[in-house]
Amino acid sequence: MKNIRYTSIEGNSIKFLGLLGVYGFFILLGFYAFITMEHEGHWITGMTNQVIWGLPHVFAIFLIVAASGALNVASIASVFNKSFYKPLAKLSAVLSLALLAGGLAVLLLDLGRPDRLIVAITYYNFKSIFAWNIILYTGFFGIVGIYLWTMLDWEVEKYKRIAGTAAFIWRLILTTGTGSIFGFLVSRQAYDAAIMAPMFIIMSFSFGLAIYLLVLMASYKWTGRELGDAVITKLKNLLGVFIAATLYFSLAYHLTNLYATEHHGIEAFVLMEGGVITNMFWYGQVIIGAIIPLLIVYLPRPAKSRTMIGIASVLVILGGLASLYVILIGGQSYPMTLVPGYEATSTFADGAITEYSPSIWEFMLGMGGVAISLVIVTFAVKIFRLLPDSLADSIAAPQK
Amino acid sequence: MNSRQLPKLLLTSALLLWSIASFAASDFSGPDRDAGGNIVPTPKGESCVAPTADIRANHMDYLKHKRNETMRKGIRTEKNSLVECINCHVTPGEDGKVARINDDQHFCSSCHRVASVTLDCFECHADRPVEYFSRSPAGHDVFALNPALKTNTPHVVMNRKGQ
Amino acid sequence: MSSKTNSSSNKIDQYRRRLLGGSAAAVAGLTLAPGLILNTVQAKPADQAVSNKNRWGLLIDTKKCADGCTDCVTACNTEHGLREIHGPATDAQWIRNVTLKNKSTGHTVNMPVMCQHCENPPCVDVCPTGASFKRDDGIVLVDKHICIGCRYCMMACPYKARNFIHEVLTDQLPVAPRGKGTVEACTLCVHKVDNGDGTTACADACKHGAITFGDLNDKNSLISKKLEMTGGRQLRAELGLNTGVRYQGL
Repeated sequence: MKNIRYTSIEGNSIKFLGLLGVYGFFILLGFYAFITMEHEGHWITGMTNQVIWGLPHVFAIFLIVAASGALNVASIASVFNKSFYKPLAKLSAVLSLALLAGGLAVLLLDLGRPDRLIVAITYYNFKSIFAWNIILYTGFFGIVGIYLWTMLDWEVEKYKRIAGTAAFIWRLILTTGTGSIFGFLVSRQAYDAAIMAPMFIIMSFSFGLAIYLLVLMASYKWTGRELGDAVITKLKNLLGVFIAATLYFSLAYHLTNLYATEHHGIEAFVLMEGGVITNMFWYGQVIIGAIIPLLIVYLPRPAKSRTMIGIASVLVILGGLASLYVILIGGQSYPMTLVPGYEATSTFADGAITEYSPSIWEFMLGMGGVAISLVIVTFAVKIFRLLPDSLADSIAAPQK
Repeated sequence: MNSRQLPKLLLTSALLLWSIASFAASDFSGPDRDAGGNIVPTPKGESCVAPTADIRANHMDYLKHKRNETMRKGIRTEKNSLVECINCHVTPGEDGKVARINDDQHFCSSCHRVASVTLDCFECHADRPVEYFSRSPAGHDVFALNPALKTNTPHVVMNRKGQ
Repeated sequence: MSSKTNSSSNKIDQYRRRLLGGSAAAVAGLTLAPGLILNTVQAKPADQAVSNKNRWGLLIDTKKCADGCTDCVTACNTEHGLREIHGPATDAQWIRNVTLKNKSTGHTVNMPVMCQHCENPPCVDVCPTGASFKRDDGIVLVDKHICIGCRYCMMACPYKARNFIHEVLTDQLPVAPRGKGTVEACTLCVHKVDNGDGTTACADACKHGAITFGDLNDKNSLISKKLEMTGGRQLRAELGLNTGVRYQGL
C-alpha cells in the first residue's frame, strides 16, 4: 500500500460556511425547543403518562445506536487488521463520537430535570441498566478518544491495536446496554425479550455504516477529493449484509412473538391494526428501510450509481428511525394486561390503545441532536487530519 | 518572602481577623437583617432550633440531612423539618396575609435574593403554613369535582385536622 | 447567647415530648366478632426509623366496590392536592377506577388501581439514581430531590401506577410536595402512616368498606385476618413482585 497522506479540509468556502449555518439553525431550533419544554413542562409535547418516551427518544436512541455502529469501520481496520479499511478508520472514530454526543444531548435535554445532570453522575443505582448506560456512554468517549489519539499521533501509534480492541469490546457492551433498556422491561408485552440486545447491535452496524457512507461521500464530493469505486463497493456490500441481518433479527423477533398466544394482541397491533405503527413497520422499516436498499445495493445496475447508493443509505436511516418508532411508540401505545381474560377500561387509558402525535418541539429537539452530531463531524474534518487526500482505487486498493 | 511584602500581609491579615471577629461579635438581637440590611420577617417562636449563626451557615445541610431521614426512614420529628421551619418563619404581615416565595418579604427569599442563591425547594414544597392556604368555599372536593378550577386559582383546602 | 441556646434546646425537648406523647399512644383495638379482637395499627415514635417489622398494604374487595363511585379517587386528590390541569392524558392520577369485563362471560368488576407497593419493585430496579426506592416498611416512594425525570420507572411499572408531572405546579400541600419534571405515584399516604393514623385517604373515604389498610406482617391485623379467611390475589402475580396491594373477588 502506498503511503497515504491525511489532510484537514480547507473549510473556508461559502458552501462550508453555509453548511455550518444550516446546522447552527437546527441547533438553535433544538435549543429553543429545549428551553420551551423546560419552561412549560412536558405537557406541550405529545408525550403523556401513557406514551412516556416519544420522538426525542427515537432520535436519541437512533443516534446512540448508530454511534457504536459508526465505529465499525475503524474496528475492522484495527481489530481484524484489514488494511483496506485503515484509511477510513479516523473518520469512523470521529463520527461515532459525534453521533453519541448528539444522541446524548437529546436524551439529556428531554429529562424532566436536566438541571440535575450532576445528580445523574453522582448517584448510582447499580441494578439499573440505565445507570450502567451512563457509565458506558461516558467510557465510550474516553476509550474512543484514546483510540482516536493513537490513530492521529504516531508516537502512541503502537497502542492502536489495544485501544482499538478495547473500543470494539466497549461498543459491543454499550449497544447491549442500549438494547437492554428495552429487553429488561419485564412488564410490557413488546419488550422483555433477550433478542433486543443482539438486535440492537446488528441495527447499529446497519445505521452506523449508512451514516458513515453518506458522510464519506459528501465530504469527498464537496471537497473535490477523489473517492474510488473500490471503497464504495466494499462498503455498500457490507451495508447490504447488515441490512439483511437486521431484517432477519426483526423476523425472528416477530415470529417468536407470533408463536406465543399471549403476544398475539401486540403482534396484531404492530403488524395489522396499528394504523401509524403498522405503516411505520411495513412501509418504513421493511420496505423503505430494508427491501429497497437491499435491491439498490445488490442489483447490478443501481449498485453502480453513487447517487443510488446515497439514496440507499438515506433509506436505511429513515427505515432505522421508523423501526425505533415502532419499537418505542408501538410498545407503549399497546395496553398492558392488568388481569388476563378481562378487558379493562378507566380514566387512565387502561385497556385502550393510546394515540401519540408528536409535537413540533420534540421534532425540533431531535433534529437539534442530529445537527449537533453533524456540526462536530464537520468541524473535526477541518481541524484534524482525518481524511486521506485521495481514496482513488490506485491508492485505496492498489493490488487490483 | 521579601521584607517589603511583610507589612502588607500583616495588615491584610489584621483586617481580615477584625472583620471576622466583628461579625462573630455582632448582636443578633433586635429585628434580624439580611446581608442588604433589610429587615427579615419575624419568626413566630422564641428561638430557632439552633443559634442564628449556625442556622445561617448550615441550614442547607440540616435540611438535607433531615430530608433524607424523613424520606427514607420516615423519621418525622419537628426539628429541622422544612414544614416546621415554614410554620414558624412564614408569619402573616399586618394585613394578615403571608408572603409567598416570589415576594421579597418571604423569609427564605428575603435572604436568598440578596445572596443571589437560587433555591428550588418551593417548586415542590409549600411556601407557607397550611393555615394560610385559602379555604375553598366548596369544602372538600374542590379539585376532583370541579374541573373548572385550574392550577392557577388559589384554592387549596385545609388539610390539617383541627387547625 | 447562652440563654438563647438553652431556650432553644428546651423547645426541642418540648417538641419531642409532645410528639412522643402524642403519637406513641396505641390506637384502640377493634372487635370484629365476639372473641376476635384485632389490634389495629400501632404507631411508631416519630424519632424512630421505620422497620421491616411492618409491611403496609391494602386489601381491596372488588365485590364491595360500587359501580360509578369515585370517592376514593376524590379523597386521594384532595389529600394530596392533585387537580385537573391539562386533561387526563397528562394529569396526575395516583389512584384510578378500573372496570374489568370478562371477555367470555361478561362478568364485570370494579376496582381502584394504584401503586401496588411491590416487595420487588421494577421501578426501583431500573431507576438510575436511586430516587425510586422502597422503605423498610414496604412503601415504595420517589425521592423527588434526586429524580432526574428520565421516566424509566414509568416504562418499567407493570401497573402504570406512576405519573410524570408535566407542568409547573403551584399551591402544593405541605404533606404532598410535588413539582414539574419529576415522577410520582401513590405514597400509601405515607404521612398518615407515619403519623399513626392507621388508614389512608382512600380507605378512609370508602363508604362501602371495600378498602382495608393494614400491616401484612402482623398476623393479627384486620388485613391479615381477612386475607387468611377469604384470600386475595395480586395483580400480575406471574411477575413475582409480591405486591402490597391485594384484590378479592377477581
